[in-house]
Amino acid sequence: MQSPKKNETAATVTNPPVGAGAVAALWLGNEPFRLLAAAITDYAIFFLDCAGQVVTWSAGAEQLKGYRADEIIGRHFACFYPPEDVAQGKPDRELQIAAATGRYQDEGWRVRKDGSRFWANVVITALRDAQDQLLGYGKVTRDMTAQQNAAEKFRNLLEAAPDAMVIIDPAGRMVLVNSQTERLFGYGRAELLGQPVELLMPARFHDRHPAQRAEYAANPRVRPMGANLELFARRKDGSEFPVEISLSPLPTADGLLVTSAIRDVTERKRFEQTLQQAKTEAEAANKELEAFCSSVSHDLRAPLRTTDGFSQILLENHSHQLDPTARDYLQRIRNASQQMGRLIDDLLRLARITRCELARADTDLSELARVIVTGLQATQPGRVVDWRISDGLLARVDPQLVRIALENLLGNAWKFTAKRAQAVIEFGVQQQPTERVFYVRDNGAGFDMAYVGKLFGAFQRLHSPREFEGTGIGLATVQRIIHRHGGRIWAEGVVAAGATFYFTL
Amino acid sequence: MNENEPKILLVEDSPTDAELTMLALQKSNMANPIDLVRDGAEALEYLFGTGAYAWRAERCLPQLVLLDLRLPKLDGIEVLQQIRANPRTRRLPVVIMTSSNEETDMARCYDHGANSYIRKPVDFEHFIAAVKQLSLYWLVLNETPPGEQAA
Repeated sequence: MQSPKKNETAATVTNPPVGAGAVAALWLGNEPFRLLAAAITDYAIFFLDCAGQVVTWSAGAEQLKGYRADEIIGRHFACFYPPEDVAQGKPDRELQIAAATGRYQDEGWRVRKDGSRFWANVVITALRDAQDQLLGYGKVTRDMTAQQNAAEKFRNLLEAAPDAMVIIDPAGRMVLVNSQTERLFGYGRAELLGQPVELLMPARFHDRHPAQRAEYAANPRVRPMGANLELFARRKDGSEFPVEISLSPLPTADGLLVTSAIRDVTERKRFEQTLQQAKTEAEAANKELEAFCSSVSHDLRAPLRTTDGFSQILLENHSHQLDPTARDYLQRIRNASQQMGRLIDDLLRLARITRCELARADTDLSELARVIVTGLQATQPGRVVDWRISDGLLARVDPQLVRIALENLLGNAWKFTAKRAQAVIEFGVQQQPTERVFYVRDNGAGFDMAYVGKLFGAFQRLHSPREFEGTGIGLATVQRIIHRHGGRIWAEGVVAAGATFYFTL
Repeated sequence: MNENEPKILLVEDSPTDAELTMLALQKSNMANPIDLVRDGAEALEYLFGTGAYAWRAERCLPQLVLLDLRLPKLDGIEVLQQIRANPRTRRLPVVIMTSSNEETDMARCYDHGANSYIRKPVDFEHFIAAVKQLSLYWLVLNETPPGEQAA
């Protein structure tokens, strides 16, 4: 809004030209009114004659509309209206209404001298003499652009909200809704305004709701409606859908209004349900796997123990009845049983890695490797291996799982360098731009890169058991552990020269 | 305590497993008489001196129970629970001897007051070594807890 230039204009008032008619005489004959009109600069106050021509002018009028008195007096007041209103005959219609009813009030766009528009509140009053003869019109115009802007901003804000916004009055009637509300509920705006908000709810909630509204009015604050309750809304077609509603109080001169932001959570509920179902299924599958492992662990091993046990008793207690071939056969039976026992254990470990929770902790991999190396050396104290373990390899990993992975990798290196006179086994890290790549390198038997794809499959072995013993599950286990950490594992090898296993964590 | 009283109660449903355990105990020179029961219900009757074992009501408890987990009627965990719930047997040393090394099995056994958990190895020589160590420990080294059996 323009700021009034009080000092210059406060006392000026332009009088009508001599002979301007009865309405001018009215203006001139009322000194206190003239002074008042001159002092008010927030409003344009002026008189029109019966034909709608401007007869008097004031400082407020000049300030608001931009015309000086000598520019406007005598002109028809239609020049204050936008051309489209003029084309529709709005100015004259307003005068007719004022003449017929005594008063006409309007809000709408008006035009200044420079062509700019402002939102005006206009009151036109018919002025009559004692004989009820129409003398002219008094016109009071106020610039409401700022208020209009604020209201428009509020409406825009309401429209831009992602949720359906419904504002209700103290009686629970909807006084404002946005277009999301129309879309969500299938009602037109006109069908909603003035209606009880219960219209938007399933019938079974209607009885309780007025009491709940009263409760909110007694303690109004921004909060979700019915925390932890399942809320449902009802469309015009009667269908229901789950919603989340947040409430905020809006105190006004007309009492406490309440704004509700209503969000359709159908999709989210469906997603949550799917997720929950998947979780339940996964848990059931895990339980089943657990039961399966438990029974494998027990039932598959028991016969092996019998086989090995009685073979051993035969070898020890009945040795004199057996020739060397028979004893050799028995020893083979024992070896096979024990091999199968290891196989079962490795498979169970592999299964366990899949289903256990990952428990990450800051872990010193160097230290872990040294403990494993000590254990390996203890199995064959005579073997000399040049261990090169880098210091300070720290990572946030599941220590138990990574221990199993390192046991396998270092154990493999140990195993496949058994035939080297000068075995070298290395555990270190390469710092790449975005990640650290750990590696275990040996100068052992190596492998043919043609088979690198088979390396990490369960039961895949690239060496005959006669060369190197093993179950073929070790690297599958390592891979699963690395994957569970979100890492990658790959290998490079040269036959008879060695292998390197790289992994990230 | 009578020297000829059985010192170990073996609870094992598989006859071959029972025989292997007996053989292992013989080989480890633990010449202790062993009593064998075939299921969980029988184990409890034996220990509580009820049912077919009413005659044992006045007898001493064994020094050690070797308890398998997979048992007909009552499984090992239930037997363990009842042993711990009964004032007569609540301090009785119970060693779980089983083929399973499932973490859940292990956790449940310790939760219910098992004194030890041994996984029977496939390799019979390892098994003999294990039985030797555990009988030496529980029958010779370990002090039998005070309780009913001390009477």
